[in-house]
Amino acid sequence: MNFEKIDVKGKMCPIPVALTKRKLDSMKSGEMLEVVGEGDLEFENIQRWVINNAHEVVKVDKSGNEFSLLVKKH
Amino acid sequence: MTYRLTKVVPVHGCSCKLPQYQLGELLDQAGMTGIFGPEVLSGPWENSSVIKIADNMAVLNTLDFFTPMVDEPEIQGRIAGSNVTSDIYTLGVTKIVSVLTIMAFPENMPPEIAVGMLKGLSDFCREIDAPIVGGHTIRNPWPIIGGAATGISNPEKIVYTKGAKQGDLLFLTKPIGIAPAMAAYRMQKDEEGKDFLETIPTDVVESAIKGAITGMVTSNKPVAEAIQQVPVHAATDVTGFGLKGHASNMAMLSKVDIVIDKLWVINGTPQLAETFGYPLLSGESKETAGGILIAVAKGNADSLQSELDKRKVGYCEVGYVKEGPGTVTVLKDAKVIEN
Repeated sequence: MNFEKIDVKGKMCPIPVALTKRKLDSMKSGEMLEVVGEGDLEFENIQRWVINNAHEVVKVDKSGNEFSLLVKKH
Repeated sequence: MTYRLTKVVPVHGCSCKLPQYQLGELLDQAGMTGIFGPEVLSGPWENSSVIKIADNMAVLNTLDFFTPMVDEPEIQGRIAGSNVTSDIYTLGVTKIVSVLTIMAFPENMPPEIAVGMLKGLSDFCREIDAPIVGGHTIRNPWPIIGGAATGISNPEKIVYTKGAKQGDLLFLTKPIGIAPAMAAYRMQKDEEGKDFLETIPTDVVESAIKGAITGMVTSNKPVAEAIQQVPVHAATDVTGFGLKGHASNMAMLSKVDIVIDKLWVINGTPQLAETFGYPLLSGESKETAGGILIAVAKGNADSLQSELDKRKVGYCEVGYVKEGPGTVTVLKDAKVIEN
């Protein structure tokens, strides 16, 4: 199975969500994407967008300011 | 190098507001129950505090400040002025007797930027006859501008967020979509951001940005004047919690359900929201210096519209109130009206 990864650290809002969306749009249903980023607001924004758009958050790792979200495309 | 206000902060305008649920948790943990003495007429989650000081006189206080939305200091000052005074006008109160300014500026920010923000705020307040009488300024890593406003009114004339009734119609006085429009504003100036705007016609982007800025620097004072002429049931401005969040406050406090069946949006913002992943069409996108959501009985809706028309205030009927425990539904097939 295809496994993609993007790093959105240091990107201005709303680029982290827009990059996540763009990457998922290019993937097939069931494929996995890991989004690595930083900041509580970006963490919440990306997670909310993923859930609102019926994708699945498979795993969340959060350590201090940094996070990793593993997303399964709808 | 030019100092850009929006570049030095990670969150912009009312997006820097703490989420509603998080604020609620903090207040609970701090034991701030929102139970006040009899002289306090405003309940929790109200836009301004309302203190009765005599039978025919109440004093309203509100505080509002945030990080920059735009790079032009004077426009930023005007947005801040519009936002803080709106919290008084939302209660249908037209008389603001004083404004105190609040400003924070980073050590490396050129002084002319601070002067511009203060000038914009001061000009805006002068134009709406709300005198600035003092303020407070600090050094801070993020630039911040805003103020504290005080209004006065006969207590009988005040309109609260609480009070919407079954059968009411809901009117909104500014279109929503500030967050995606202003994201486009920032993205236009960013090398990586420009890439996301490639597929969107330039005139759509420009129109959205212009619509958003025009809306933010437009005072809600004429809305307060119109509200005074009509027996409306409830009102709240639409800012950092988004249309759905503020409607939710109204529904919860009024113990009714609210249905949003029309989304009145700034021209071009649905396309921008889709590109950037903003929840605009579910009514959850954050607004800054937004319009006022008014609940009015069907029988008085024509009078309200007429009073708004007289004052050249734009508006749209966006939903209705029905019996229920206090929930808000934004219909999935809500009609999207671009302004």
